[in-house]
Amino acid sequence: MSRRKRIDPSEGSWRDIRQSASRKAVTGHALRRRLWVFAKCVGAVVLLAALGVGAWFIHDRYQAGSEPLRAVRSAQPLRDIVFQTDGVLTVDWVRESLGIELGDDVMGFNIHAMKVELESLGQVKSASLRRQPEQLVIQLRERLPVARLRAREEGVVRTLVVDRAGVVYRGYGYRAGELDSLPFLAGVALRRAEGGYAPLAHMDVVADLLLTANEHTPHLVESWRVIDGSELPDLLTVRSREIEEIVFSRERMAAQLRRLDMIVAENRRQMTGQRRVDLSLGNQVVVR
Amino acid sequence: MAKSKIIAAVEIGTSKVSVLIGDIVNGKTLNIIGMGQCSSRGVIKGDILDFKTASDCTHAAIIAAEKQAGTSVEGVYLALSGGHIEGFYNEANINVTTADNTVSRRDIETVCHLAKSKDLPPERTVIHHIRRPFKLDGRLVEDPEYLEGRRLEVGYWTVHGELAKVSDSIHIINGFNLRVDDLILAGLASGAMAVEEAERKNGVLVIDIGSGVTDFVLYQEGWVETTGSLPLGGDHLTNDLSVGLRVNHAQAEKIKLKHGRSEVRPEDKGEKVWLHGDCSIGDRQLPCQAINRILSLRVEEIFQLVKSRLGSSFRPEKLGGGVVLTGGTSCLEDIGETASRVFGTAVRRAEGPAWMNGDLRGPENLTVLGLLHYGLNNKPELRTEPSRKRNLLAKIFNRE
Repeated sequence: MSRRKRIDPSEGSWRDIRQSASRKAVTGHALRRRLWVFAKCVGAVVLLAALGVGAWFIHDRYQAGSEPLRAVRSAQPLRDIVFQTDGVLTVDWVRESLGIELGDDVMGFNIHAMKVELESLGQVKSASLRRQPEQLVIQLRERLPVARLRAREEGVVRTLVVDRAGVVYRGYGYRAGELDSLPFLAGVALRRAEGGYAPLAHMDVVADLLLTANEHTPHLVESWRVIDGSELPDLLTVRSREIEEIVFSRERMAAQLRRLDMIVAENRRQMTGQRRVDLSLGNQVVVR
Repeated sequence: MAKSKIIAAVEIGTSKVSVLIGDIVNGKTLNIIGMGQCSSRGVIKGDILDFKTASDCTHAAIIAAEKQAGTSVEGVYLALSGGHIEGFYNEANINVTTADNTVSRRDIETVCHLAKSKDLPPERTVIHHIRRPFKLDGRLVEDPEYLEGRRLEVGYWTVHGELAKVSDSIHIINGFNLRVDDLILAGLASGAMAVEEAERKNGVLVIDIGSGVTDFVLYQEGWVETTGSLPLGGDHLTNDLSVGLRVNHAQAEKIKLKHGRSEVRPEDKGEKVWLHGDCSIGDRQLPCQAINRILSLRVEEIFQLVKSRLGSSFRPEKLGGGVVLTGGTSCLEDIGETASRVFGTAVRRAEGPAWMNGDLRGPENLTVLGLLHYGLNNKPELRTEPSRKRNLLAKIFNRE
């Protein structure tokens, strides 16, 4: 009995025949055609790659062409640094800070970057640099310190100085003992900022007091040890060797200092002492 | 911008392999851009006996066509023929399921499915399911959907072939790194080109007599009634001459083409033709009556076999379009008279449309042209429905 199969409309069709040929069925014509198709594919890939490389090359050339023009110049070695400052910094300090040496190519210096670097150091208020043949001219304006303060940096307690504008910086180049006459600043919050500390507020009040005192009663200032700025900008408290607390207001400082001078003189005469003198109440002085 | 699609048609015949490459523009117009032909070897009576040799010929023809077209093809429409091709008719009917007796899409799908489901002999594979018109309560309808009726019937003419032989044909194409997009019965491809819609409506029998195989398609009322293939063709005529006249195959082929007729005429009596005609050694005279007698007997036998295979389907009174002969052997002189005598109807020889290139108009090229026609109308469910063909014929081969 012959075996018969059932046709399902979706089955038993010639389309079920697997369309593939064995290797033996491939004739020379077919082989050549396959090689030709393969060669065309390879050619297309190579062409695409060449186009890609060409595009990259053109892009690269374009980028190279957009570079800023550089002046053709000859090297000029640095023979001299002309240095001017209104403060205490020296040419050696500047040279070390900028990392420049005599003999370096003057025309290779980035003047703008050097100016920014110097002004970022705190003590330099402004810097002016000028390039001349074989010469670099540097002019600085430095900050004037009005008080000292102490801060812990990397586990070490350092003495910093602050100027009238409140800029806190390390003092370089000051002679030994030169900063010792400055009173310490207390009662102010020191905050870190990028590359150092944030400027302190109301330091102009402190600076005015010290300036007035140095002008009218310099003998009193010598004994001032600490200025407490915790109540700034209205009140300033000074701790001296003779009086524990002297309270100033920001108004009429010269008058306040004259009254203080009188009180101190009377104390010396009577061989007595006060623990607290409050000069901030206008014509009234509270002495304890 | 015009959309272009390249299609190729391949016919692996017993005497030659024909390849045509067409360019379908915007899905409507077909331009033939390449043609390749190669003498066939390794194929006998439509069956591939030497795979390697047949592959060589086929691939050479494809290469020639590709070279002429200047492009590569990726898939082909392949003509299938051979004595192993058979067919049967199966029909099914169902009661319309909807309450209001309106035919639904589901009803149509069900009856079509049933009609196509049929036991198939082992090692056979289906080539085509050719649908005949629906019948709704006995009346013929083209599309019964939304029509009212109680009983829906449909029949399919299923063409099937030997799995191994079909696979061989496909694998020859695969060997060229191409896929077979569609496999079409050679007779159907020829019929699509040989007869007009009106002829199919009136009933027409298309007989494609090739070298090794004779394919036939009977159209009734515009639909394919039956198809068939006989492993007989022009080569048998040549063989008969070779044996009957005691000449070699090449000489017999030459005599057939030069002096052969499929009818014996009274003037043939006593008339003779030279074998070579150059008085060389071995040249001799052959009687025309004997030549034509041999040919007429074989041709008549072929037609009788076709008639026999058609059986009760063949009714001369239903063949308003008569018999249309195509294929290379249809060029034999007086073959129409023989056919007319056997079938008792009008007979004509097929030709391609008048606007077609002269080289392609011959009956021997109609099969491969018909494949391109199917490629243009690439709708598997509709491709055997004749109602779609009239417009396409007008669009086909619109060469610039």
